Amino acid sequence: MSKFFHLSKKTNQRIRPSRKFFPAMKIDVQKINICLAVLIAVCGVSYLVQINSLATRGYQIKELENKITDLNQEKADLELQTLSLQSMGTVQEKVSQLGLVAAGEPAYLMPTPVALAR
Amino acid sequence: MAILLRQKPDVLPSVFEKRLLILVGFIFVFGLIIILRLFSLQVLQNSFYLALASDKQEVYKNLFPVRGSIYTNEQGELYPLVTNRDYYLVFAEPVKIESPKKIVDSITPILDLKEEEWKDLLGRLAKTNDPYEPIKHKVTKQQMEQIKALNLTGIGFSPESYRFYPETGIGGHIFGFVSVENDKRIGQYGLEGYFNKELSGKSGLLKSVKDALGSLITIGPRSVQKAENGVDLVTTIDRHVQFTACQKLKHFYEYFKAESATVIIMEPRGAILAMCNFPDFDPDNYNAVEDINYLNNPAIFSDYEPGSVFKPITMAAALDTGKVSPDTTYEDTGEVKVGPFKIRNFDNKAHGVKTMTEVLEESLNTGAMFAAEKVGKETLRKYVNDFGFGKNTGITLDKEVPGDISQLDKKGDVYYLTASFGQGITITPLQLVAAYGAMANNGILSKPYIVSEIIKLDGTKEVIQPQTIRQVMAPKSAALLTGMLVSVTEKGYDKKAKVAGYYLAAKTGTAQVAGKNGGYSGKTIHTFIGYGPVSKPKFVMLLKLNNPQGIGFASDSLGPLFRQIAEFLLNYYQIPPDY
Repeated sequence: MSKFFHLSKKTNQRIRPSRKFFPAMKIDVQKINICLAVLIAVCGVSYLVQINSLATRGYQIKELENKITDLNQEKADLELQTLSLQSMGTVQEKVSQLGLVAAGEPAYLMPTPVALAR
Repeated sequence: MAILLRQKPDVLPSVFEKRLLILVGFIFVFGLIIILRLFSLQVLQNSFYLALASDKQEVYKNLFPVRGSIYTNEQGELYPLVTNRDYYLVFAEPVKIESPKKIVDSITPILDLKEEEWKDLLGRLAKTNDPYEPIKHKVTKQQMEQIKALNLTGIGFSPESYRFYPETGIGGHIFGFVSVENDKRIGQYGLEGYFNKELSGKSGLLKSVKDALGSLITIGPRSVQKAENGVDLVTTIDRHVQFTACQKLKHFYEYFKAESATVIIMEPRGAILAMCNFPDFDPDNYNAVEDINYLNNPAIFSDYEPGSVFKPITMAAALDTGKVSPDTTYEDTGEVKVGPFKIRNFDNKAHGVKTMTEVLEESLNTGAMFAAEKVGKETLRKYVNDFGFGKNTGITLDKEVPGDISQLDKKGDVYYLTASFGQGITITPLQLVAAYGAMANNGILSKPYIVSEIIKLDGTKEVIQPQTIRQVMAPKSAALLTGMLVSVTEKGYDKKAKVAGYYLAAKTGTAQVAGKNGGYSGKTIHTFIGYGPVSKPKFVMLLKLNNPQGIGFASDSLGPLFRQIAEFLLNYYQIPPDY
């Protein structure tokens, strides 16, 4: 026997093993494997969904870009149409139609010298 | 027998095993062939197939920059004179077309094709092995949508950009045009030619991958080198002045059946307000021009012997050097002998004692020669040079010529004496306008300019200020000369240019056109140049008619036109009268 037993006090109480904070866990490898498989499947599916969604969004973005281009072009066309209508040639053609009259000679007021008597 | 039977399978394979062996051998050979083929495809012909695949899967696009616009400034706001408009190219893929006749019948009314055009198209669409045939350029969006709605197989569209000119017929020579050469747009003549590099910008490049339908894959790899758009130009041109001057000039050009006509209106500090010539060309349809020479801007390209409008230059030299005053007199005997030559007045008459002012009023050649003799050849040459003749003005328009004043370098007095009244030397209309601008601006010669601002891509502006070249003559001399030129419009032959209430300085010139075999032909060039109002000059205006019919002198042909445009300008700029 070891020397430690000589010095120990006899007791009826069972010597309890020191309490461990965490109880011993039995690792179930099979469950972990299943979990991992599920996780991989979920990740894979979500990745596929995400990629698919991105690709779809790509087409949606493309459509919106095309729409923006079309609208910009329409705006540019309208601006050019406005310019054509504002051009001197067009205005001249429509002078009578629009009821415009030629500006007459301007009259300038000439300052006249003023003499004041005290 | 039993032994033989047992040994037989080891030595002689059964039919099944034979077949098995053949099959294995076949598979081996087949595999080997596949491996060799793969080796050939992937290793030996790697680069070829890589290129082929990239053509199918990858997109390389040249990104074309937007060409800069040309504006005018109207009360602080930019108004486009030249900008861009998107059109479409309609093209066909004959390999995909089953019925060319149906296609032609469908698109002819929409594209307004002429008979020869649709017949030609029918022949081209019938080529079943032809992958591409362009049908029509500059198709509008409305036309494109009409054709698209027909769902025609084998018909496609490609966007393309062209220059757009909201104001028609007012400035082909100022703007120039943009031509297409090898898919590149090149500016030629005018502002387009001079600023071609700046207006063009820089091309970019897009490298990306495309899907089976040919659309770009948004999440795919993409490399973009952006295109840099061209700069915008703001001109000094006043749209209303340009339009009015062009219209009035055109009327006189047609009325006198002249070969060509020019008007330039400039502020005395050099800003060009209007520049117009006839025959003109439509920059939108420059290919239709009758003569390629019409593409050149006569205001800067056509140098000519100016005639009497050059006399004030001689007089400026004489006044500034103190050799004459407006009241200096000489006796006009009707001709001056210079060596073996006799030089006469335009009317071949002797006018007696005349002052220098009267020399300009009556446009006497003998008087101009008197002033030139007083000044001397060297001094006259210095003044002619200082006024900017014989070299380009430096205006930012393409294809300017310097003129030729080499006659002033020749030995013999006859050369500089004839130059004193504008014969034997050649100048451009713009040089003359700049020189008269110096008279109007206290003797300060300014550089003519037509671009007031360059707006860069980042929005920064390069403002072009009036640029002084030199003080050609003293302000006092300029004032005296201006007074003499006012007298020309008040008392001289040029009274038709007079505007009531305003003092305008002006001079006419009717120059003979040099013949091909020496001497002078019967043709004349009429020039009328002036500025006003002299109290605070707002404009310098030159008018020129080449060989007008049925009229002898510029004072008669162009005097009324000068008055009409001057009246418009004085009214337009709201300039109060002098008296």
